[in-house]
Amino acid sequence: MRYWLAATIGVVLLAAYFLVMPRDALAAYLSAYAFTWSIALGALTLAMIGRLTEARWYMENARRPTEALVATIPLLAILFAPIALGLSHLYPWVWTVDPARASFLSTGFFLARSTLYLATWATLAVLLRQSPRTVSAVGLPLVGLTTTFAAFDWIMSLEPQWSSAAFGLYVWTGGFQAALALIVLRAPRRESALAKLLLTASIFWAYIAYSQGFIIWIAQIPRETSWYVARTSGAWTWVLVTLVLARFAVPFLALLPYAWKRRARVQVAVSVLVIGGHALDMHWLVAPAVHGRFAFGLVHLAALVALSSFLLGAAEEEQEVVTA
Amino acid sequence: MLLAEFESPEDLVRAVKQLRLLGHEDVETYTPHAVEELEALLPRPRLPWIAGIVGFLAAGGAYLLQWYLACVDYPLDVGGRPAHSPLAFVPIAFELGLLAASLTAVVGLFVGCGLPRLWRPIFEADGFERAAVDGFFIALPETAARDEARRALWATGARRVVAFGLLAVLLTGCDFQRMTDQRRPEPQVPPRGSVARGTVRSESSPPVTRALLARGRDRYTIFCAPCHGVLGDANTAIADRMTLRRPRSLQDEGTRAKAPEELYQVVKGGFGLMSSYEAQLPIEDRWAVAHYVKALQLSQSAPRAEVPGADVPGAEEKRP
Repeated sequence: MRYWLAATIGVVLLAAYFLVMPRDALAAYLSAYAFTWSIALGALTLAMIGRLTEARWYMENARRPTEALVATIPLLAILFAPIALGLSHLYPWVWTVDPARASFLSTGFFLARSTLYLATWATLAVLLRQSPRTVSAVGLPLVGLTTTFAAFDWIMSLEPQWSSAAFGLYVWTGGFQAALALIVLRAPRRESALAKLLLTASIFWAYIAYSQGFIIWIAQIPRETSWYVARTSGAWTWVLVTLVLARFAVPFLALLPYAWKRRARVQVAVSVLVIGGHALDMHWLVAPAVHGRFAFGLVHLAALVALSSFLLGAAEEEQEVVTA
Repeated sequence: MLLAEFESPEDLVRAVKQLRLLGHEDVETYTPHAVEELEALLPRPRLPWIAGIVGFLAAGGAYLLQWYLACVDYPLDVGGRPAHSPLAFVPIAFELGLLAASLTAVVGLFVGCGLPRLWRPIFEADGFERAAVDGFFIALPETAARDEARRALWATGARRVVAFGLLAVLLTGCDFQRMTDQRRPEPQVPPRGSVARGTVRSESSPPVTRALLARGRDRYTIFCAPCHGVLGDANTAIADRMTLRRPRSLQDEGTRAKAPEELYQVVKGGFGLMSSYEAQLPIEDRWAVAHYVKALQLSQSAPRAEVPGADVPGAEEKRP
């Protein structure tokens, strides 16, 4: 109940802001949507891996919270509507047509692709209950491809001149890590297996983030570096430093020693940090393309509260159904 | 040293817990596989911390080395980038840190286990080779309170307790290394007709007792039943998949005609695709299995008249 209340307050604030500054409100909504959507997809990935390996830590501990998050995917598909309706406010390719990209980045094709992604995930999420192993085996590569292209379409195309092949993987690993952190918090027992997986996911995120940055840095092509220049100027530098600390350095050092990763308090603290880091990460990807200068205000907070409450509220109800 | 053998990992864990309560901190254990619960009881090794620290030091050293080369010793202009480019120093620092940490872990493991050494006094203890098959052992150093320790081991439910290698333990104090400096004598040829130690052992059957058959049932269920089936009729999932040559039913005419001595030889030496169980089943266990198989055959084909209690009303005839 408290989740639906928080979601309502967030939505009202966001709607009020939309009437005054539609572009800012939609950008805030997009980064919050990227946060929840990538977590749900991370949970779907984990569910498929867990169902395929039938690992004990998954089947006996992590399964319920994970599959409760997976069950929110159909709701999240509906929540894509504001972005679909506000394309012209968000994406520059709607009004400045670039002949080289016109066929791919056109409103019709973009919406068709988005529908395909959302339909794929919703179908997989629903079918996962009926025949978990088959759907997982067929679904994992599908999820990999659709998540990559969804990240390209929804976030990377905010700056159509910039491209990075690792970008989809970056969003996916980030979502996977944050989903794991959320599952650590919601799992019935604090097991070291989940903490170890969270450590691995943190290293994997750092690896992808570093690879993308390093390749662009060493090639030094202005069309590519401009993306990083925008994200390392002014206060955004400190956001990047926070990201590296919250998503990699602190989880890595805290979860490395044998005894620490088994401590419930360490697991909870690291998970909260990772989830916060992921929210900041999605903001760091979206906001510089829209605002330029550093911005984080009430509207971003409202969007984040609204969408996270939707995710958690739906997951909670689902988990109660699964448990009952 | 006192050596105690236990039947199962659960017994061993219980014994270690009890011994620690009694104040025995220097317990050593030998098991055929890793026992997870035991790891929590033993002191945490320091090796992970050492490997971690070495790894971080090596990564830092690699970074410093690159900084010294690129900024002090031989600065090069690479595409106008600053000489001190942290992003470019990361891969080598990372790889060298990882290499140093893993090398430390491997070398530390060898040192910690004393691995290049191929012989230890405990190997001379009778039956200790079962630590690699199905035996769970505890070794206690022989302290002043020898009888007290012995009683404690018995009280924890050990199958047997032996004192071993008094001489061997004394000899480990000797400096064998010194021998390498001496002149090497010609290898001695054993006298004609001599027999190596441990090769002459009685293989005759122990008396068939209820306890022997119970042991046989236990061993049979572990080592034989997966293929030959609990009833000996080779009706198992494994047998169903061995379509070219099925494991034999122990209830067929040919096997029923075999004497326990022949079954003993099959267990020891193998038969057809079946491999030898010599390592898993010591002499007494082989006999136990052979006699149990005979009992199993009898139980599956006894005529109605010979079954005790067959004339009790309500006992129905049932054919296998």
